[in-house]
Amino acid sequence: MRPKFRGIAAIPLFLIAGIGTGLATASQVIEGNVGRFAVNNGPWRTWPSAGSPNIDPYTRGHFPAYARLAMSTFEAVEYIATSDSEGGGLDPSCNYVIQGAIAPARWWRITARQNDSPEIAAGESVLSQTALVEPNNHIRVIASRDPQPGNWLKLPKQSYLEFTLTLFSPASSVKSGHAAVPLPKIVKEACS
Amino acid sequence: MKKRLFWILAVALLALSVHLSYVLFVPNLDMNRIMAAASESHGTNRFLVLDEKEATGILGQQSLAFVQGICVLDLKSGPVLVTLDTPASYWMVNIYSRKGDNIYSLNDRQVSEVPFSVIVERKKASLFSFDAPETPPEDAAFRVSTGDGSGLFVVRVFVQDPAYRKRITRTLERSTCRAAEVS
Repeated sequence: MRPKFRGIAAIPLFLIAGIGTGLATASQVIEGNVGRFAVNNGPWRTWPSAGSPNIDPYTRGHFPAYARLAMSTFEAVEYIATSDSEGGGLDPSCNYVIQGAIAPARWWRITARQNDSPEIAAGESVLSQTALVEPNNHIRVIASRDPQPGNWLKLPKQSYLEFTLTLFSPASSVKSGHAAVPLPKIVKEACS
Repeated sequence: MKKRLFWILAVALLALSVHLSYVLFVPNLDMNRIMAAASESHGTNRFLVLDEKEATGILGQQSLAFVQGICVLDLKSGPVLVTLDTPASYWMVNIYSRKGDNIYSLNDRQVSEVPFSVIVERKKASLFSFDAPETPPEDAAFRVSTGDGSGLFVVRVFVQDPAYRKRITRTLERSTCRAAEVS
């Protein structure tokens, strides 16, 4: 009786291990943490085949998972950062300086997003049209909960934070070299 | 030893099946949710300019930088004609398949005259057809073919200044989406 009982008892374990491993590996690849479907450029990550006819199944899965519709790289390239340039996780109670050269595009937008909410409140994004840009196409944006001089990116009150940099109608150099184009650094400053 | 190997293989096979099912089917479900949310409240083949709350509820994404308009395409009974009236601003059109793939893109730099029309039609499913070719539907500047019987048409117009939002919305509201007439 005992070996038979052990065989039955192994079935729930088999289901948990199989389903858990399947879901965990799928979510890791969809997140871009594993595999070559996402491309990293400093702290920024993008999905080069988004919105293209040759979209791979993991990129296809990435956007709906966050309730978003992918735009083609011809129209927009979206970079997402969940850590600063030193590799530390983003904390909305800290101030961050997003500074450096920005890849050529018709216009760009930097947004502070809470992962659990698609809503972007006023002030939680900086647009190229209204931003102060240095002559060499360098930018300096201060992300903080408190008002800051210059380009201020208001941080949400929630505990999760990610930055999104979207290049609309980007130059061809962006479309062909997602990992090499100049993008600003994210430097952590004081925390409250 | 054999038993252990059996269980390891069984777990690996189950994990592979779950992995593939998740990757292949979940995006379809999510896209169906978006299209069902839009068509339940506003119907199909109807152009709708979304306010900020609707953009969040239907598209799951909201941006104060855009005014967004959509049309849920039902191509089962024939082609659909979308006539767009867009303001002199940066805008882009994306047509998504039922799976969420972006099958067509267009922006303001590719269109010289506004308003303009886009016809979306369903490709013939059969490899061989002995029927006489259909008379082309209404004339349109752009023609898009898709293998799906449904899809989503999305237009995003950039709002340079919040003061322009109402004006852009009013212009975009003049756009239409309807079944195309086949003569």
